[in-house]
Amino acid sequence: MLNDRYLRQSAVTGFENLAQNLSDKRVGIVGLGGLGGLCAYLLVGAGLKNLKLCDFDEVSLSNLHRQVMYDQTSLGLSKAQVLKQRLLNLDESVKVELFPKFEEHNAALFNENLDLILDLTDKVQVRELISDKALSSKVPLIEASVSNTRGQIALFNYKEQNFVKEHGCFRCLAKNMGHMTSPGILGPVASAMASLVALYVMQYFQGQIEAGKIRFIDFLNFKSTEVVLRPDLTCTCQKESS
Amino acid sequence: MKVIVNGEEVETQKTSLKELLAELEIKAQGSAVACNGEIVPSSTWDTFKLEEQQTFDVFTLVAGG
Ligand SMILES: [Zn+2]
Repeated sequence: MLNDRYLRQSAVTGFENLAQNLSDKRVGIVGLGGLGGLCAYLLVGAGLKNLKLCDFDEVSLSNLHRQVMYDQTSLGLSKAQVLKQRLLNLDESVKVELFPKFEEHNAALFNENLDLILDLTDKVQVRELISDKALSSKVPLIEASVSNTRGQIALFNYKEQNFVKEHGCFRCLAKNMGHMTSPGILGPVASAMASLVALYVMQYFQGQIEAGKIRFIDFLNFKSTEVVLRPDLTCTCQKESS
Repeated sequence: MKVIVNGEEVETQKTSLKELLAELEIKAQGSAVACNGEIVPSSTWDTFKLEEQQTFDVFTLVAGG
């Protein structure tokens, strides 16, 4: 049965069956800020029905210039709670499970039965933990981030047997990130990147994305470059996989 | 020798990637480098030997969400 909801989407070549395809997928999103909020909304709009959302944070005034799922009426409220309601308003049939915080003890439960994890958090240390747990659970992971006027996105397909040997893990890349802070960020850059992550997820489920590459985007000049990820042979992931 | 860094030809006497980055005053911390389209892990920058006409892309890593 053709559903009016997806009429215009299914008219796009390569995405005819997207809503149907997304309907049985389970996606976990960690970090519900400028990237995670809008990305979740676009994915549910496209037909995703099962999500696990994780964020401990509450909406604050300094979020509002870029975190478009929240407004003045959400100040002080849990981002996860507000976003869940926004998603249910968009599609009442969506199932959303909330997790307060991604931690060592609940990581396995969060990762359970997921087809894909989106790491859209804002701290390298948290990203490393998410990557470690995705790797041990063998769940494909998309690492996307944004700062200032730039973004980056990579697919770590930990489900694939030889992936880590050929391309490494997030830690291999993050070794050089240190304790990065991101003081500046433009609203349109965050939302552009959130949209790009949502599109990337759709393409991934449509089988159009090749894992093991990272794309760097500079939104000010629309410059975007993709390169192949390679392992750091001194990383823990290489000892485990050998 | 001549190498290409972010699209521009660079003449250098240096032999390793780490030395090249220092010469170009590129901050190691927070940067990612690709050679001929493949990421060079930062732990190998000091032993990574430069060769004529290699193409390097240097990227600023970001971590915000
Ligand atoms: Zn690794």
